[in-house]
Amino acid sequence: MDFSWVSSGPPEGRVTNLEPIGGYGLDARRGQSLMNDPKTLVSAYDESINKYNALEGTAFFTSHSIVHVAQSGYEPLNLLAMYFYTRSKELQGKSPHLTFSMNPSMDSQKDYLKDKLDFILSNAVKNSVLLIDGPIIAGDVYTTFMSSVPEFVSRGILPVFFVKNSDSNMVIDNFSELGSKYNSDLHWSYNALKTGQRSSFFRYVDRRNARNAKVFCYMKAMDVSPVRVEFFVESFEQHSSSIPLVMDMLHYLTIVQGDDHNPQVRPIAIAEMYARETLKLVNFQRLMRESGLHPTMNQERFAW
Amino acid sequence: MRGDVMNWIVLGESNGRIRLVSKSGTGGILPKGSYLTIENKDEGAKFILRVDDTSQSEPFSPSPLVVEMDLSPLKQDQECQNVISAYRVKDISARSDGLIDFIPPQSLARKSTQEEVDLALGSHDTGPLVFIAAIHSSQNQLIKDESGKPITARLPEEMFYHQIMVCGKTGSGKTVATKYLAQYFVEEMHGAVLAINVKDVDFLKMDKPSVARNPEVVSEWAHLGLTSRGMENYVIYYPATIPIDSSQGVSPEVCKKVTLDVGVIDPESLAGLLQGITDAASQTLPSIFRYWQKTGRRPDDFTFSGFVRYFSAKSEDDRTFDTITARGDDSVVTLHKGTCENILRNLHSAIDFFDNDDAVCLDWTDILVTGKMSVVNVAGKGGSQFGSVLLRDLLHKIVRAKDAQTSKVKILIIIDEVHQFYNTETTREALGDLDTICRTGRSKEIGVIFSSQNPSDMPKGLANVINTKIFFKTDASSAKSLGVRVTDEEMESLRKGYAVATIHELSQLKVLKFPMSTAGVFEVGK
Repeated sequence: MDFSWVSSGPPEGRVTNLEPIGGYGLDARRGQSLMNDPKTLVSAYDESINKYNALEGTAFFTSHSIVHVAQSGYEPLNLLAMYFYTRSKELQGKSPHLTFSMNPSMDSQKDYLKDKLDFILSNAVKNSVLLIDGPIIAGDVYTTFMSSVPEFVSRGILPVFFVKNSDSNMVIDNFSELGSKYNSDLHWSYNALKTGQRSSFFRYVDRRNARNAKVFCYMKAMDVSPVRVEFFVESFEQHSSSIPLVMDMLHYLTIVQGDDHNPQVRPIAIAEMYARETLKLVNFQRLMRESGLHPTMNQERFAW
Repeated sequence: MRGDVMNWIVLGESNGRIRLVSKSGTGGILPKGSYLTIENKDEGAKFILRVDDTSQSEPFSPSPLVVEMDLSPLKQDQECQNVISAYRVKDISARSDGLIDFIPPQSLARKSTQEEVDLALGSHDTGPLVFIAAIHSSQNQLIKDESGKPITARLPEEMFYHQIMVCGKTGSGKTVATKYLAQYFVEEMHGAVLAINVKDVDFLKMDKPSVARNPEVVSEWAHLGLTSRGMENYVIYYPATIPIDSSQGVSPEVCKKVTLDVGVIDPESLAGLLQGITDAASQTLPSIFRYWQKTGRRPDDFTFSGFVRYFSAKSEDDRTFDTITARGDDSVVTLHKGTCENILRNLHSAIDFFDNDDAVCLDWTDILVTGKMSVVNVAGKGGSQFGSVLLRDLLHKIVRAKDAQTSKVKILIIIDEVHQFYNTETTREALGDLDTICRTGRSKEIGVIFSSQNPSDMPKGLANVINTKIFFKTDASSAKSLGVRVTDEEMESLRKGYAVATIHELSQLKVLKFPMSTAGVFEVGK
């Protein structure tokens, strides 16, 4: 399905660099030591979504997945959620499980984000590093995530967000010397960074709502497109002394994943595996067909 | 701790095999040949499965890159699972509607207990105990229950009377296993054993307690409640002309010299002397000898030497011999000069085995004694010729005693390297009493164990009468040709004492380990 709304850039904002712009070396061996330290608690979140377009409405079946990297092995937790959105009042009246919506796209995102946030907050481990696939802020619905910052801070959790594919140009638009040379921030960071480096940290603040702020950098663990690593400002400040070491650990975890076609930190890749596998526990497509829904032409032709 | 909780989850059925995957916490691969039990408490049903295929699987498929970069991997990534394909051996179910129970997916399986394996195998109350074993990736090991106790099976006693073949290279455990079976036959079944010892002192120290130094053996004995002890009623018979070297630790007090007596020997036994001539030609010698024994001999020269002189004189003359067949018919046969020379050469070499004054002549009464093990030692120069004649003579006498119901003692005959006594080309007809024994063993309670390095050594005429085949480490192709399912790698990796087998009335048992005999085996070293 189309995830473009997730990775689209934030509304216009102001970006400042927190340290001199340039490449900063990452030490995978130091990251390995941190990861091997039994006191280091690491979890990761990812999700997998199935969508079914029917004449009667649209169904979303989502598997939210958290994996704790425990001493004894990966410990997965999954939440399976299904929603059906319809513009038909009559249909909605027949079942409390159907959601009436005049804007299914927006409402599905809201439900998805609410479930995601509740699931994460219910299962995140105190004083842990929580790796989350996706950006902190992306589009209007995503700003709701910011409301959870105090709880993460109070529980000593350091959420780290990863953005792999993005056409964001926060950096190049805010630094005139870069603007004309690059297509996007990822284009800039790929050229500016050597393998095993991160960029300087930047602070982004939404011009219209200063509450929507984040700290980010780009990380080039392998000789492929870098990833953007994002932190809540408050969390970044709370854990500032550990951030360099955490970056080393993220570098190490990307090497552990070892996939130059899809560079990401290993625990997120594992969370993704569990999300995909648990989504298969229910044959969503068959369930939809057998429930008497009529698939749209696209659904019939391009379901898989 | 590894192995604390061991469970496997049923995935489903495919091609008649139940597929399972290990649950986390199961820290290893359950080897092929193991048994699993699935309980369906709701239905009151239980299923026992035999593991037919087993392998390692890596659910997280980690990349090698991190190790390539000299970094340590995440141990969480190194988790492995055991994927199993198992055959449904036994269903214990109360249903009576003629249907077979489903084994629901996501059911949990655990290692079977001894009682469950007994049920699966249709185990018998009596019979020699062996350990059920497994081979996986060149590892041999005993199958164990959840508490770590080895699982055993009883070989059916009936197996003895349906003939057994034991094959294996030197040092593979073939002789030790044969001793174990012999000891069981004597001590538990109260039968008699006649063993032909063809080399070294293999069977010559069964009166002495075994010496076990390997902790595995000690542990196996402890599990079976066995202790080292020698056999009590035990006699070694040896040809008067081939003394036993007492320096090898054989007890002189259990040894008795034996000789062959031309007066009582079964003429057919003499066929055992002849090597390198046709079956037809070899059949003439007993008839010639029978004539001489009954009518042609000189009263003052009733010795084997006398017969040799008689045969020699006839060979010098017209090579026409009077004969009496086994049915008592008189006849005459003329032999080719070369055949005469060949027979004469063999007769000369056998003179020493006959008519020794200070030796006894063996009869069935010496062998068919309850709880006695008799060993005929034919190791040494010319021993196989002596053994060949004596064995035929004894078999004839035993069969006659059994036919006449003069003796009801069960007997087990152990013939090591059978090709030394019966040529591999020997036909069923030429096998004589051995063929009779093999075909009527059950009714007469006579069993035979053929022990050999290579199954191709077996006389052709016996190929179809052996119901139990036990292969220690040997050539895999020969085992496969006899219907034993084993790969080259599995056969090559068999350790001493471990064997693959097809057992009479115990078809589920494929890989087994024999305990060490408590008599007559001496492990060296610390």
